[in-house]
Amino acid sequence: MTMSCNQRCLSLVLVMISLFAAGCWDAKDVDQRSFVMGVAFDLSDTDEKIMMTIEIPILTSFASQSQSPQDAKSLLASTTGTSVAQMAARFETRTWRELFFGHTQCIIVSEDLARESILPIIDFFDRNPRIDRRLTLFISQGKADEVFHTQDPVESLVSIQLNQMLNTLTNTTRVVKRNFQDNLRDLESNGDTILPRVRSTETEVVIAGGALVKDYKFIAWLGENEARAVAFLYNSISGGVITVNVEDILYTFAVRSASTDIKPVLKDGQLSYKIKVRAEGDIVETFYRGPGGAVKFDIPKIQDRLNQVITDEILHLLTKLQEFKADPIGFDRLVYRHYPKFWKEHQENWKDQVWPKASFDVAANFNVRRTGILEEVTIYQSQG
Amino acid sequence: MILGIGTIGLPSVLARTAGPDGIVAFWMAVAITLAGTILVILLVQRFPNQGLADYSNYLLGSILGFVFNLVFGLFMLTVVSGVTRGYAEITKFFLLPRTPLEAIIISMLFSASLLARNGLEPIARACQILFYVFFVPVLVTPTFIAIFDIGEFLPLFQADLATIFKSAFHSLYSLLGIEVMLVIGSHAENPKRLMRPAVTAIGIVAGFTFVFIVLAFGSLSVPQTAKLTDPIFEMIKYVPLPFSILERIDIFFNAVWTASTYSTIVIGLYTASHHLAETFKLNSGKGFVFPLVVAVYFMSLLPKNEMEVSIYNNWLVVAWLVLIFVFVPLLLVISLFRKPQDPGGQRRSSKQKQKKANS
Repeated sequence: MTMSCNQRCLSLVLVMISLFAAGCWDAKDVDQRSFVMGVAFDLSDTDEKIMMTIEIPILTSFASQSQSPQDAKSLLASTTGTSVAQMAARFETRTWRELFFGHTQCIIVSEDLARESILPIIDFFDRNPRIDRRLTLFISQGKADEVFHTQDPVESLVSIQLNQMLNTLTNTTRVVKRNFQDNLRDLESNGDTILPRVRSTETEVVIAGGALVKDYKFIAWLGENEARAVAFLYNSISGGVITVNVEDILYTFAVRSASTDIKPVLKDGQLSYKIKVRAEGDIVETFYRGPGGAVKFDIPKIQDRLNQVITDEILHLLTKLQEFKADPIGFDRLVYRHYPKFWKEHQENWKDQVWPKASFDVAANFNVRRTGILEEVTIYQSQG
Repeated sequence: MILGIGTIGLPSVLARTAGPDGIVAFWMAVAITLAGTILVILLVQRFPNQGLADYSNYLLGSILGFVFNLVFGLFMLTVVSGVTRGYAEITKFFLLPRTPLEAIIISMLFSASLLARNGLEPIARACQILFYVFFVPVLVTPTFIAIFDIGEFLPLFQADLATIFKSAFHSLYSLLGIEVMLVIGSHAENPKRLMRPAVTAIGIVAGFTFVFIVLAFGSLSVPQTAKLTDPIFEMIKYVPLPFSILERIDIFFNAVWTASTYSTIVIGLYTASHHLAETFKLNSGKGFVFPLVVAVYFMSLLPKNEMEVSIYNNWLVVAWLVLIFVFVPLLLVISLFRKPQDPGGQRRSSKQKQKKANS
């Protein structure tokens, strides 16, 4: 079969197009990239303000059969600079592999740097189209780069460990579980948010409690019980246990589901919030030190105590937030949505005057569904 | 032209210009598009089996008609150029940062021209397939429930009418497309029944686009949607999908969006070439496609940056409004005085025309 002149021309054009216009400019093999799994920012002692540390996995070490503890699984590199983009570019003088932030799992900012502002740090990541917005932003208690130096005997990469811990934590509510997108949502609304706190020792990293950020600046730590109240207010409870004392017996309640409903109420110019917490779950343990025996579960009393504990924790947290004139939960957004006129009149002095004077009506409703497979509370004789 | 190129940036435009009332502005834009659709179809129905080039000559006179047809051809070229440049900009930013803009434009135009040269039937068949592909992203909708906040739609009706109109104007760019019916409406088997499918098509596009706007507002928040240039792509990245295999689902959305852009460019090229063929009384617009592609290529490179692309698009909307709400009603009014010609005379049967278009 012979080809006509037109067909020949068309074939030639097709070949040329497939050669020159097929996106080959962007071809980048996996081995030509440095996957930055985690980034840490600290204040620098040098003239250049910030120190950036990155954790890059050494892919060949993951493929090798030897499991010697001396085999490093990741490379840590640090540089200093005045902006994140500048520091990221400076790493290029040390590696020919392009830094790729598409798989970054966590960003850690040290408390010292966060006290100045986290805004210049997050802008680079917020602007980057390749960033996975489900990564986690942490504030470290102590130096941020030290978290990456942790030598956990089980975990290979600290960044992945941190992200996995936060995403699979269901057995504690004492962590502020927010991803980067959630934080951006809060910060762009009023500049306040709560970030998870991370601290490390030589062999382990711990995520517990939270860091209160006001106007993009870290201002105070929140304890673990306060973090639980935050989780209820953020409506992000996905499990966890709460232990309450009822007549000297400790009951451990495992939360199976929980939801929080917050409604602003404006009456005679006075702003208040109705906060309703609903939770249900099981009693998974009873603990008692004293004479032995067996008693029936007093479910209403346990529920009342649970309601009281959570109500107190939430009220304690809200008082603390009002003292700091910080609104990371987004109570201002609720006023804007339900009372736009009132909001327009008071948005300028919201944090300084309106928010600290708001009152709260917290009502918790805990429901104990099951008591495990035992119907009675068995109290064992104390041995000592 | 099922989904406009502007769909991915539309939630941002609405949130930026009208906040939560962007939803209201969007439906106002849909109402404007529907009004335009009704006008266009009424005109097409007045002249069954005739293209715009035929009846505009008859209604406006040969000289004015010729000028009008050239301007309409230029408008279609400008639309295709705007869409092509918008596609290239977004593709370069999200997918191919090192690939020259020119290479992205050439590859898209070249592949679109192959289909545009083959006439209406292959285009219709391709669009039939793509139509179902566009519904696949809707399947991801339930995964948004975990991050969806219905409170983001409050407070409603706070923006003044001028703001709503301004926002509706900016969102019209995503709903353009019905003007192609002025040219290809004459190929309908039964133009008298064209109103229902045309209105239904706008309804489907509006519904589909509305789902994306609602998802962007509810999952990203209105302030964040306003800040992002292309919130639909960012919104997808945030969805907590259950399986790691779907981790980069944004790429899949990119593919669907590319397909929708492709269909827009193909239909635009076909309409422009077919219209010019009718203007110059040629049997087929096939020969016009490649010269038009060259023109579109250079026109699409005219804006220097993203800001200029946005200004270019705003002017396109102005031109569209003038065409639909000035020229189309004008032609309709004139047609009341100058009765349409006898179908047996100058007009061609739809089947003959279809054959000619496909040849």
